[in-house]
Amino acid sequence: MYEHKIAFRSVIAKKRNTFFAVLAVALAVGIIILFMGMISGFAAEMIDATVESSPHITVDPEDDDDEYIHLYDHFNAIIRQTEGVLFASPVLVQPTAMEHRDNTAGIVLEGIDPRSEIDTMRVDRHLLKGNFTALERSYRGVVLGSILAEDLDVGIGEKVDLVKPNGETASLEVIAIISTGTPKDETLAYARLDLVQDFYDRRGQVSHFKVRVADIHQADKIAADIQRDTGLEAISWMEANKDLLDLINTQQVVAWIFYLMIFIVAGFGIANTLYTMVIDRKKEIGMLMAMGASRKSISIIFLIESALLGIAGVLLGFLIAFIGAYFFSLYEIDLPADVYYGVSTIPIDMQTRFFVYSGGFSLLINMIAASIPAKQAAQMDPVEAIEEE
Amino acid sequence: MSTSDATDGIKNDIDVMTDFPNNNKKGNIVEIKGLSKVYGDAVKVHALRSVDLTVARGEFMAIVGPSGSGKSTLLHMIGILDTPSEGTILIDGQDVGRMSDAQRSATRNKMLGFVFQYHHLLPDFSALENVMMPLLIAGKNKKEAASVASEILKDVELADRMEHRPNQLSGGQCQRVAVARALANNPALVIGDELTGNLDTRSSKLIYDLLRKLNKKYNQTFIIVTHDDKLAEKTDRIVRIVDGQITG
Repeated sequence: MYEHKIAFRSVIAKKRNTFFAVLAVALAVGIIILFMGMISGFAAEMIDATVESSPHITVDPEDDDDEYIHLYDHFNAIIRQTEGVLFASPVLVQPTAMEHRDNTAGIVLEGIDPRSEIDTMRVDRHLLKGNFTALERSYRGVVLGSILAEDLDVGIGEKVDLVKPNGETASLEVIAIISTGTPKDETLAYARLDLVQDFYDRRGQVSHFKVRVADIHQADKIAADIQRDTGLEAISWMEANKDLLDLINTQQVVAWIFYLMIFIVAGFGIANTLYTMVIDRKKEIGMLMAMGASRKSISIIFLIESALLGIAGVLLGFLIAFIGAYFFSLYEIDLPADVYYGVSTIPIDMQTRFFVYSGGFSLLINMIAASIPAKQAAQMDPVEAIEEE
Repeated sequence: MSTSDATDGIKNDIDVMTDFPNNNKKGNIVEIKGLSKVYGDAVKVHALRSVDLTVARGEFMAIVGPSGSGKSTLLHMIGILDTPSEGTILIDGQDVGRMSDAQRSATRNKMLGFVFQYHHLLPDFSALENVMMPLLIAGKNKKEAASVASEILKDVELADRMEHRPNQLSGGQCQRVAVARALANNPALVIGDELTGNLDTRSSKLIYDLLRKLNKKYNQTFIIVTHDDKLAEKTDRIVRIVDGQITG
C-alpha cells in the first residue's frame, strides 16, 4: 500500500499546490450548493406566493360570449360538494371608477361574500388597517388596496363614491385597507357581492368562482371534476401559471448547464495541478519505476492524490455553503415586488440532496480530469524521466 | 578474504539479512548476445552495435568509454529500463525481451538495485523511508521494511541520519542513502550510473569502499558506468565501449 503513502505525503508536502487545488474545488462546490439552494428557494417562494395570491382553481363561464355565470347559487352548491374542495367564493368583477373629493382612480371592484372570500383567499392576512370582517355587517362598506387608498388620499371611516359611466354614483365607507404586496394594491377594491349586483343590475350573476382545495397538487384533477359536474370552465393554478412553471423548469435546465461548466473549470484546476505535479516529479516517477513500481501503481498514486484533493475540496465546499447560506439569510435585499411577488430576503432552500449532487458530481469530474495526467505519468519512459536534467 | 571469512562477516554484521536467494546460484548473472539499439526514425542513431557480454555472479565490473559511446544505454538495457532493438539479454537466465511490463517491474524490484549520478531520493520522505520504499513495493509490511532498512543504513554509516530528509543531508550522505536503497531488496545485481560523478574525492572513495565491501560480503554483482579511471582500475574487470561496440 505504498501508493497511498506516497500520495498522502506528496499532498501534504506540496502545500501551495494542494491549497489552490482544494480551494478551486471548494469554491465550485460551495457556490453550486448555494446556487441550488437559491434557485430552489426562489422557485418555492414564487410557487408559494403564486398559489397563495391566486385561487387554486378559477371557475369561469362556459361560453366566451357571456362574461357572467347565471344562477350562481346552483353552481356554488355543486362546486362546494366536489371532493377535495374546501371553500368556494363567488365573485362579481366590475371595472369602474372611484372618487374621493377631487381624486379619481380606475379600479377593479370585486363583489364578494366576505366570509367565503376570507375562507378561500385568506384575504384577511393582508389586512393593514380596519376590520375586514366588518364587511359582513356593512352593506355599504368597501375594502381598498393600500396604494389605491394612498392615491385617493382616503382613510378608514371616510367616504368614497363608485361612479358608473352614466354618472350614477354610490357612496361607500372605507372599512379596511389591505396590502397584498402585489400590483393589485393599486386597483383593488372589495365590496359586498349583493351591493355590486344591485348597483350594476346583475342580480343572480357572478363573473367567476374562486376555489380553495385541500391539496394543491390535486388542483388539476379537481378542476376537471368541477368542469364535468358544472359544465363551466375550471382552470387550476398550474394551468393558469403554466408560463411561470415552465420558466422555473427552464431555469433548472440552464442552472444545471451552468453547474456542469463550473465543475469542468474546477476539474481542469485539479488536472492542471496534477499535471504540474507529474512534470515536477518526473525523476521521482522514473526512480519509482526503477525500484520496481508498476505503471499501474504510478497511475494509482496520482489518482489517489486527486481523490484526496477532491475530497478535501468537497468538504471545505460544504463548509463554505453552510457559512454562505447563513450570511445570505441575514442579508435583506430589495427586489422589485412586481417581479418577485413579495420575496424580500434571499430565500435559500438547503436540501441534503444538493450536497450529495454537488459533492458526487465534483468527485466524478475530478477523477475524469485526473485520469489524463495519471495516465501520462504511468506511460513515462523511466530512462528519459531519470536522465532529464 | 576467504569464503568462510565472508560468511562469518555476514553473520556478525547483519543478522536481519540472512536470506540470500539471489546470490547463492552458480553461473552468469548477465548474458548478452548480439545486442543492438537504434534510436530515431528518420535519422537513425546506433547507440549499441551487436554487443556480446557475459557478467559472472559476484563480479565487480566497470563500463568505461567516452560520452555518447553507448555505455549508459547498455546499463539501462541490463537494468531492464530500456528495450533492445535486436539481440537478447538474459538476467539470471531469464529473457528480458519476453517479459510483460508487470514482470519487468517485478524483476527490477527483486533482482536489481539502481544508483544514479543524482540520488533521486523521494524529497518528502526520510532517509529510512526512502530505503524502505523498494521493500514496500515488494509487498513487505512496514515493520519488516523498517527493520531491514535501518540495518542497511547502519551499514552505510548513516545510523544517526535515518529520520533526516534528503534536503537535510549532504550530497555524499544522500548518495549513501541511494546506495542503501539499491541494496534494500538484496538484489543479485546492483547497477551504478556515474554514481560518484557528483561527489568529491573523499565521498567518492567512501562510496566505492562501501560497494566493494558489500560485494565481497554478499557476493552481489556490481556493474558501474564511470568516467573516473582511478575508480575503474580498482574493479575486477573493465569493459570499454567506443561507438556502441565493446573494444576491450
